Amino acid sequence: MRPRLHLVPNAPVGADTECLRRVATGDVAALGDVYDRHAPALRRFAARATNPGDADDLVQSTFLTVVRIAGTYDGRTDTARPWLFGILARQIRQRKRSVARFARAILRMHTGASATTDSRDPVATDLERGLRKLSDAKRIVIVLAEVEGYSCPEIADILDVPVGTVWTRLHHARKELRAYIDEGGAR
Amino acid sequence: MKRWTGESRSAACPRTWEIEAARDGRLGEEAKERIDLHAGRCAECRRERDDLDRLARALRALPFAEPDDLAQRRTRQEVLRACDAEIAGRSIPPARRGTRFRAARVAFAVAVACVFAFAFANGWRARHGSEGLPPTSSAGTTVVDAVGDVDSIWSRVQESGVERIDLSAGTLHLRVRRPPNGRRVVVHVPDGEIEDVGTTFHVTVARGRTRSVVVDEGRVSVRLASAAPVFVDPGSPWSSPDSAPPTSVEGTTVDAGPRTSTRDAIPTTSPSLAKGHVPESTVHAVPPTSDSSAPSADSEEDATYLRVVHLAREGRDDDARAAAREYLRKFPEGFRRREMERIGR
Repeated sequence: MRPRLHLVPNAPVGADTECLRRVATGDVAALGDVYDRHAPALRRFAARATNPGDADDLVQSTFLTVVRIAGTYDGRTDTARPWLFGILARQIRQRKRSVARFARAILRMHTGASATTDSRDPVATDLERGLRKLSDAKRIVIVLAEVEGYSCPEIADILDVPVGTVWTRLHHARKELRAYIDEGGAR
Repeated sequence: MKRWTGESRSAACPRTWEIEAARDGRLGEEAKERIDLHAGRCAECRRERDDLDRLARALRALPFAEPDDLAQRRTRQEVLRACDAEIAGRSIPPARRGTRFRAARVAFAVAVACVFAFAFANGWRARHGSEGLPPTSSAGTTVVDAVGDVDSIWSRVQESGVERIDLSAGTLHLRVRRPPNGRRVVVHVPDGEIEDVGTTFHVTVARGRTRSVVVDEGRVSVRLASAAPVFVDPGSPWSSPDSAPPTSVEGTTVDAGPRTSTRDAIPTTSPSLAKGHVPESTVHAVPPTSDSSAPSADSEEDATYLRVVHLAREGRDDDARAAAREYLRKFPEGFRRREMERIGR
């Protein structure tokens, strides 16, 4: 059964709303509270949705964006985590255009280890590789759905796309992953 | 290791698509119930459900290397530092500035340790005067002139748009000229950081702790792990409160003299000392005892000064004036003479 979204523990309802209101006035201390509550989850998501080496940079970009747009947070949800995931997802998509990402991709092509030398579980390795081969859009959706436990309407809200788009991306992401693994990661 | 199912995906049952649809919330409640009933009888649909569940479990089980505690704290500090710089670079209404500086405490427990070095080292100014530091260049880029005493241990490096200076021990004398969007200058001390706001200041670190901060020109923000952040202006030096309980300080200081800070929007208050107001950034709850029992003072001058501050804060204006005149008598060239002259009038 898919795990459901849980409220952030140990944070009273509305704590994020109050903190972000203070961040909008320049209160970095309040930003620290938001960081402590959500950065670990953001880092995990970033690591799975991109790669672990980029996770910290993406989390930092996310919080820099938070500083700029904290005043736009409407506090619709009890926790700001979906909102933060949305910002992070946009950061991931924007990375695609960066020259640095291109350079990293080139570097990985020349230095990446082959599956035959990897002693870990071959299925897990194929799954990781299959996940990397997905487009950013599909990868983000499947990680939010299957790892973070968000429903499709919640993902649509996070990414600000129609729910039909989420269904489509999720379906194709699963299809590509299963095909990749079934073929032994040969693609 | 068992591979993922190698069976053909061209399912014999035409309803297997509904398994995924139900999972993703694409079906209404009635349709969902029907496919659940169907799956109870259809091996193909049950296999599809199991495959989807297994894929989800495998994704959740992907290894993720959680950084160690030190790395996490370092990352947190870097992120909040970057965010603080982002906030500092924005235009913030003066009315909100106090809140922002209170918040700076968390972001950077940085440095305030300026200038008492001058007192400890028999006055850097007495030795070097204004010629101790090389002349600064004209505006446009951040210019940092740093001179360490003979026994000081320090280093300097530029990183990510920040001029980083590490002071491990001894006394360092700095003059900073920083345009509004210039490279930030941060002095890292063992117990925190000191960030310049366009200043000439002196920092002393001893036995792993920041002892004093004295500002000649401009302003510094002192943020140490053991205390709330304070701003230090000329004539309002900061010293380590070794045993004094921390006080709640605001980001406001008395404008003690000419300032060359590039942050013109920083609001300041100029409370009347005659009314018993004291620069909060320099107040520590030190009891009015003899010099030797002023735990946070490393010198007689510091102790005398802190006594004046305490008396003024308690509203004992006559005693404060007398103590200020005593200070001026004992230390006619003392660092706080301008402030003592105001109090002693």
